[in-house]
Amino acid sequence: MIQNLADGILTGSVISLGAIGLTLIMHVLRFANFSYAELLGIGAYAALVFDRLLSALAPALAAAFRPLTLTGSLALATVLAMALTGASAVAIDRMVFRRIRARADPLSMVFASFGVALIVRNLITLAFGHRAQLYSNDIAFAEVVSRDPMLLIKPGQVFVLVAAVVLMLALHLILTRTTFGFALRAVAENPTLAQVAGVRLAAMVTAIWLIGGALSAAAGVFYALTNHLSPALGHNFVLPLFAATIAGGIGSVYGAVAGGFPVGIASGLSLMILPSGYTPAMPFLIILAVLLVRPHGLFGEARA
Amino acid sequence: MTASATSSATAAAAPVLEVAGLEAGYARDLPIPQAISLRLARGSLTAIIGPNGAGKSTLIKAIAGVVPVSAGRVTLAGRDITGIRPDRMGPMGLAYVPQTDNVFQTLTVAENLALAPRRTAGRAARLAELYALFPPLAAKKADRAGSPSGGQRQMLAVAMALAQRPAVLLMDEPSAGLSPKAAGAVLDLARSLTGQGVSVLLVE
Amino acid sequence: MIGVISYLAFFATMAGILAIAVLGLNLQWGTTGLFNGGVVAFFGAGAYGTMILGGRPEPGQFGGFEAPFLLAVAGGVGLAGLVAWAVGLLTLRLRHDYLAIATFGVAVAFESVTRNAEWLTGGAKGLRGFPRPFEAAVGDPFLYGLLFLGAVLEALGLAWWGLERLTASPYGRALRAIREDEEAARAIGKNPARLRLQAFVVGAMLMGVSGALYATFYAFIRPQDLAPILTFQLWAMQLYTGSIQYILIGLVIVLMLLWRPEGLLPERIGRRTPNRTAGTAAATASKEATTP
Repeated sequence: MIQNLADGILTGSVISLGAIGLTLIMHVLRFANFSYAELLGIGAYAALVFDRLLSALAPALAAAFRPLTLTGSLALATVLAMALTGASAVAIDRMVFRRIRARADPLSMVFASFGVALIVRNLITLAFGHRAQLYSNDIAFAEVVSRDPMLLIKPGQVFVLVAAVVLMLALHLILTRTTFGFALRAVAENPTLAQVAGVRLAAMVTAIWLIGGALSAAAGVFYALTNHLSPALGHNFVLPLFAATIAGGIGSVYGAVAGGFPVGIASGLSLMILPSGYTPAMPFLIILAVLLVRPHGLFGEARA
Repeated sequence: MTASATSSATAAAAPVLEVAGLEAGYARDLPIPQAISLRLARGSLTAIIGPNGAGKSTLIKAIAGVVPVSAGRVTLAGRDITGIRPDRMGPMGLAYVPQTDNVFQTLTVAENLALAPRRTAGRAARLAELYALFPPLAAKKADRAGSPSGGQRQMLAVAMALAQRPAVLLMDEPSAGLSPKAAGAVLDLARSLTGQGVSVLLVE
Repeated sequence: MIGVISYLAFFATMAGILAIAVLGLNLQWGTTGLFNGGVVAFFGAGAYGTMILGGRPEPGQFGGFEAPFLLAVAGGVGLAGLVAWAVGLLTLRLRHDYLAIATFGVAVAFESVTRNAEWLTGGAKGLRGFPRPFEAAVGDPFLYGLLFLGAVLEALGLAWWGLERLTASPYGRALRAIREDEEAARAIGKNPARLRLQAFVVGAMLMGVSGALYATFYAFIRPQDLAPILTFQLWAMQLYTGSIQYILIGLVIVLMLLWRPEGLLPERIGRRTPNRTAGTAAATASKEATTP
């Protein structure tokens, strides 16, 4: 029970990070982006490549920060991967979504995002193969936090949780302390009024892709750090991210954060009553439950 | 649509805002103004009056760049501003207060106001001026903009519009949904602005 | 020669079966403007429903009722319709893309059931079906293959004819009307939510027919047959395997939407560019993108 809860909170932090950008994109550009979760995959694999490059160039960076398996090169690689993934998100928008929203309806965008997801996922497969990979083959020993009830936690998991919370706090400070943050929240609430108030919408859309891409990359690395990398990484997060977004109300950054944890925890706790094979279906049940009770999300507002 | 424009000041000098043969609107459920022309003198107060659904609102949205213009020209102080992006209207000197949803309810009063003069020079000074102009807003800085009364919300919306020191202020039914007292206060405010050289165009 | 013909017959049979699902997709997406992100769930419901009802009893396995073929198919198709009805009821009143998300979720949930509920679906090893109808009576496999192809084409023709009648009828016009302008359709007394739900269920049942025929043809169904990718193989039929293929499918989708947003099966009457985004951020954002 406690173990499942702890694992669920960890997964929840990854989902929350990933859902922040998705909720903004879904609200401001008004379409369900099925390719968004692939940004987690792009980020995780980009970090892998940067990590290998950096540790080859500067072997001193390859030493791990004990007791973590995290190395200096991976930490640096993660930052680079966040930048690259943000740039990729912007590039995909310029190449595909912006052209389509200029002349077709939002439903075409949904469909196009399916296509983009297929392309990204299979390019990753083509480049890295199907098999699962790890950043480090070091064995991380789990600390026994408690024997009764049994609770095992790896130092890496604690690091991931702390890092995720730090990133969310940083975003919170940007949103509440800077005029850029005010503008971002203004766009999230009412894009048309934001323009009237002098906010350049196209610049904000670019900013949202950059922030969303960067946070997704971090989420992807964090997940891969505590589990493993595989080309299906992004795909496996499609439904959890949507569940967090819908539970939190589309367009609400804080809702996405608040929605991610219940989704992660519910998936973790579901292991106590359901075989692990059913875990992928849990977010779907959450989506159905939310739609039944509060069709516009737990924090959301009515929107046609 | 019949628009009756009544200027309080005589349009002696060149008009600040000139609208010529404007047609706008793209969705079929929007009333579409046809071939509207009007001229606003500096410091004038102009009201457009007409029945509901006549397209008054669409007209000022078109002038503000929120609704695409299909024909005609809008000139502001001699510069053609037809169909430019709404976010570029402010720096050009044209501000617009929408009828509903005209403040960001999830932002605080202070955040709403800080948003508008983001790219205005002398930003801090301008904000201080605005708070001096609207003392009730200064008292509610930290409150969410969704919580003040209708009159104060309208006041905030006008303050946001004034932040960039516009030459022309467009107001869409500023008294709608307000108590008679609050509506009177908003109209008094509009009138006092004309004294400072702002041209006000409002739709009722 | 017979080898070539029977290979072609096999290929044509598969194409015909999947084409029935494409017709269902066209009713949902093309005519009514509903995005179905989980075609495989409805296809799978038809396939598994048919196998469970019509299959032979096996120890430790639910099902195997040996129902007559048409009854088994009807059960599978009914199951597909039922799932579609439940999902549609929950999501069709909401923003357009909730349906896409929910149907995608159905597909994921359906796949986890097929992989894990061994008592019901046989898990990863799949479900063995029943002898194909009349196969023993016909005897000759080559002749049977051609007859099966004939039956599939007949079902396809019937579905196509039915949909043509439907879309040409006042009912079909009402569907297009709600796709183009929901408010206007409501104003002339149409109930958009109910019409959409009906179209969604009918489309899903066609996918169920496709799945039922697929499972019957192979006399076998397993979770791999329902890989989410099948949703898109229905758009671009299976020719190669591997990543490149999927990249190509993705490219086809993206390029099609970039240069041919009216779809694979455009309507004969001219379709205006939809301006449902009027007044929304999407429109203003793109406007901003085009004005310097």
